[in-house]
Amino acid sequence: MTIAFVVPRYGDGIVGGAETLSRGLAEHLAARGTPVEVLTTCARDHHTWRNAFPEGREVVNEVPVHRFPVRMRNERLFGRIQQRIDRGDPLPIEDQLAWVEESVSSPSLYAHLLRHREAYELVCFAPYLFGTTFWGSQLVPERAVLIPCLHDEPYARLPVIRTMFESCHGFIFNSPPEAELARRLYAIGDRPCGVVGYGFDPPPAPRPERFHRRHKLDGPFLLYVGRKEKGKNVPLLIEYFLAYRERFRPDLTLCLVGEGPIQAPRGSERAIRDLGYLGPEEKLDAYAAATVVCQPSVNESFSIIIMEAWLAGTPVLVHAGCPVTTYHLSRSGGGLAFEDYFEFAEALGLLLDDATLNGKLAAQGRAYVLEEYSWPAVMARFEGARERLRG
Amino acid sequence: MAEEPTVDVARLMEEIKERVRQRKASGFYSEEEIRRITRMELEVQEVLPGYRDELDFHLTTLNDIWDPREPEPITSHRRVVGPVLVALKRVVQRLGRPFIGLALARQARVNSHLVQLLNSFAPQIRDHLRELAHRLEQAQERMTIGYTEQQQRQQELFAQVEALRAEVARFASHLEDLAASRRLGELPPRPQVPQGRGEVDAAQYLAFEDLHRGVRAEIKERQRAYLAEFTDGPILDLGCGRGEFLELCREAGLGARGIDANPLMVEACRALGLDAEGADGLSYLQTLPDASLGGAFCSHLIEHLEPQALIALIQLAHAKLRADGVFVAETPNPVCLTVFSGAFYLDPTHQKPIHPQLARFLLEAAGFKEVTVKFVNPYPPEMRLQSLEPAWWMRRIELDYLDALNANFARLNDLLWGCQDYAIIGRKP
Repeated sequence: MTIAFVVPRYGDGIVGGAETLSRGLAEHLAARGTPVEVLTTCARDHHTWRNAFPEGREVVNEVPVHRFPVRMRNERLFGRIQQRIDRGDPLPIEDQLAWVEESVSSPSLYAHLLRHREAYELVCFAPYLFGTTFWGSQLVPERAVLIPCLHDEPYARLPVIRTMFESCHGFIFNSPPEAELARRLYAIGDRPCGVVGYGFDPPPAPRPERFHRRHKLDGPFLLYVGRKEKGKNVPLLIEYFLAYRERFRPDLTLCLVGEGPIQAPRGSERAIRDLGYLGPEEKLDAYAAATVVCQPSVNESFSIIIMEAWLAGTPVLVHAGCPVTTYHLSRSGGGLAFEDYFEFAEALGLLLDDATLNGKLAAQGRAYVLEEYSWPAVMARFEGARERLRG
Repeated sequence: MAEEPTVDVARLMEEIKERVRQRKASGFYSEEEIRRITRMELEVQEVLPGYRDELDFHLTTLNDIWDPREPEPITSHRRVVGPVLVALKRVVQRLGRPFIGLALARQARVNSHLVQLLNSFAPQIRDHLRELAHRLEQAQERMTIGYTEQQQRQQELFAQVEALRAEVARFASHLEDLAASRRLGELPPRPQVPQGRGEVDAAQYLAFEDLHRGVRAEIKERQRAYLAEFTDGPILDLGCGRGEFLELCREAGLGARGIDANPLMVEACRALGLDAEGADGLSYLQTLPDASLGGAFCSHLIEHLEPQALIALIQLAHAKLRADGVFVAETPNPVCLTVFSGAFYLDPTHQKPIHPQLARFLLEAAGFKEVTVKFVNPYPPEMRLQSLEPAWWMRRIELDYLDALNANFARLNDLLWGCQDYAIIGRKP
């Protein structure tokens, strides 16, 4: 029987942890001959959620993809409720439902799910926050598998989200700390679940010198890759970096790769290079060229970034407040963690000055990814989870 | 390649924390710098979702709305009459403001003082509480570590007690065994062999040896290789049998004498004009003066001896040899497994096979030097498993299978059809 993946967006050029994860799993399942299908919307952009792809069926990399149009959204209502959630205001249930409904929703996708539910062995929904996941999982709870990509944030504590978690058949988590958080927040008891994570193929040999040349970077640099937003702790990284640079290393640069609203402070243009979105090849070069890759976010369910850094041969510096990145770090020994600025400064100094240590930590990280998160290892864990979910 | 030692990140993090403590203690960071960094962290973290400081949020709100005289913005959602209503309400608000202001002035002062009081104390209390919580956490951590260490120590002690208990039990059982062995005398005696039974007739054994040991000429040819080991006589051939080696010595001009317990063997040797005597090898050796022999040879003798007799033979041979004298003993090779399906158990007088490593050890223990083991008498090639030849039409995978098969054949050949005998050779220093 078919395994369905329900994701709000799917296709080439779509960036996002849950989207990348679902796509990787779907394509590897298809390559192994498992019948698989993706149910998604026609949206490409996660700000506007405008219908951009044509409605209907297409095949993307051997995976059948069925696109349904997005229902017209009331963005203002969504924004207003979101502000109240962010502030921590108590919210009536109808407002919570309206917020879910106005995130992104597709009634024709729900109708399809209801009509064809019997054709699916399991229906995997990712990530937990969107209307497609919320309503979809409520319609087929007996076969709904949530791939939540969960981290601790105000939305995760909404009563409607709790209801959704507690009515799903089972779960696939990205890491043990994510599973622990879910057990702490929701009464999911001994529902079947598995910890699978995302898989990686060993990357081609990077060309760090090409990156140095193209961006005229001579000295050592610290790299951040990901969305530049407060939720990812980027302002903290910028503050720490500027304080460190002023006190210890005036030749150090911080490169920011990715999109998002955060801008480097005025006057720091020489110290902070905002490179925006980079293609996969150039991103790989950037990872390899960096002396250290910093992941300051405390809100992660897996962190693809630190895995990519290790694969490119660079150690990472992570925030000690993030259970997931510190979990990977403690198991791999692929970098260091900081609790505050002073530890950040010491750890960064160590990684910049001791090239041998830098190389050893990177090698430990790389070995960890190749061992734990190669596609064969990930798919073996997925098959184990599938067995349990089938009961 | 040697494996690189792994870096213990947890220890490294401890070192980093220690270094931070040292730097702070040494005044590396000024008070002002620490304050600035702490403020910066608070400012940045405050805006993170999930990390909002509720006290700051409410304090900011109170600072915004403390004055009840501040007019609320007047709005209306009605399309046509809305603006009119708004204008009217504003007029009323403006007219009433002086009176309301008077009435609320006291409340405004109360609010103002309350907010100021909160502004000056609340953050301090918050920081103080944070500091206390932090200290509590540290104390708890220390207690947890202490408790874990205590438990570990306790477990170690338990383990030691268990080990001691096991040791005592072992001793007790050993004592019981000893007591039981004392009682062994009470067990039924070994079966007594009746007088005149249990011996193989000498003539029969000679015939048996002729049948199974091999043709005399063939054995003589095989033993020819040992001649090179001996440079000087006299040579004693212990268990000389049909005298093949004695004959070789005579041909090489080396003085040699054979000893055999079987009188028919001695007779056969003498018939060939060889010097042979009927005696037990060990007893005969004892009668010889020390350092009187140039060499000692025994072919297929040592596997007939009980372990103690074997050790005594080697020790005596060592004593009776001159300096630079050589001891050579040939015996079936137990490392080749088909020896057990053939030669070894064919002979009822064989005691136990002697492993080449044991033979080497016994010679070295007796004082022999330059001890070597030579594997001899290989099975003829036609008895071994034949390797398969590749054919031109075979595919790569078939050739790989063929290679694997032939490699397996070679291993089996070594194990099953290697050398039937070996010789242990030692020199007295």
